[in-house]
Amino acid sequence: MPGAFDASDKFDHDPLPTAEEIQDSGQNVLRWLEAVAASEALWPVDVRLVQEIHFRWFETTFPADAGRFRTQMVLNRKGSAVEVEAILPAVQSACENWTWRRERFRPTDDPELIEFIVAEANTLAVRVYDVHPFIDGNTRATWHLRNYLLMLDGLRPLIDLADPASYEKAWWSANSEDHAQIDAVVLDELAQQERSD
Amino acid sequence: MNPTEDSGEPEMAELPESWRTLESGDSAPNWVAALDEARRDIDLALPEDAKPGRAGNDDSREYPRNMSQDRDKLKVLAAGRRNRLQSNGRPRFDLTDAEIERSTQTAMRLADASKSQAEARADTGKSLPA
Repeated sequence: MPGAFDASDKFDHDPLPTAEEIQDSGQNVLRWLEAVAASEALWPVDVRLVQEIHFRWFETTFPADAGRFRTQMVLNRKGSAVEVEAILPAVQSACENWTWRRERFRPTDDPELIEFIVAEANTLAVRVYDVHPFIDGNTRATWHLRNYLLMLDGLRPLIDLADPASYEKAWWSANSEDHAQIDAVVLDELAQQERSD
Repeated sequence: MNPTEDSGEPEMAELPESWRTLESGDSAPNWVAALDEARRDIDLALPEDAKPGRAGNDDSREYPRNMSQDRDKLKVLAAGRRNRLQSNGRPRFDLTDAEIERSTQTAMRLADASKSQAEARADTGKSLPA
């Protein structure tokens, strides 16, 4: 059900305070992930992390659905949402793949390492988004999930998009097997951010 | 004969209520058992190329592979990454409140775009261009 999180009954179904609260919660999510990524007590990349990010985004506005996988079929923009029964194993599989590949293929040299970090972060973010585990909030949850993956390996999170049209085009056309376009766009955005710091 | 063999199977402590025995014979907490069962039961629901370590999955892709991205950008990012690493090996970001706010706003704008497109798709029943 697209738009399920438009306005919360916690805020008298008023979209403006709902959106403001979601914004505040989203900021707290990123602040938390920044602290975790910088610490020596890293949060493993697993199903619980995906659920925790979503929970923290929507705990105050949509507590009944925050951090809980959906129990009904949805039609997302890409038409990629999996059946309800397949959500858990699909998210688990995506996270295990990310971990498995990082353990085995993570390059040690800088340029290759940077390319690897971005490509793998995009792969997991796209995979989880395509599964569409939550009734709503999948874009927001996967945005900060990728930010955590980038920070985990020392890159800064995505802040602004200098070219949002290119980003959107690349994001919507990406899949776990073909994400070169979104990899290039994210690298470009991150490099612009790095130069301006 | 050993006296312990006389009494048959050694006495086993019962599993706590929050634990179960898996098909493999191992014991595990309920949530692990549930995950194990769910993954086994639903395995068929996943396409082959979505399963870890299966043929067709890009797990088989090897690294290092030919780099396709702009090396200058990669070097800029690598230099920034090195500067952020602390003596304990963990990075330090010092994100400002404004950066945190802008990143989150970007996510919310993308979510709005996603929802409006999904609604249009549901209305028309047609796939929208990416």
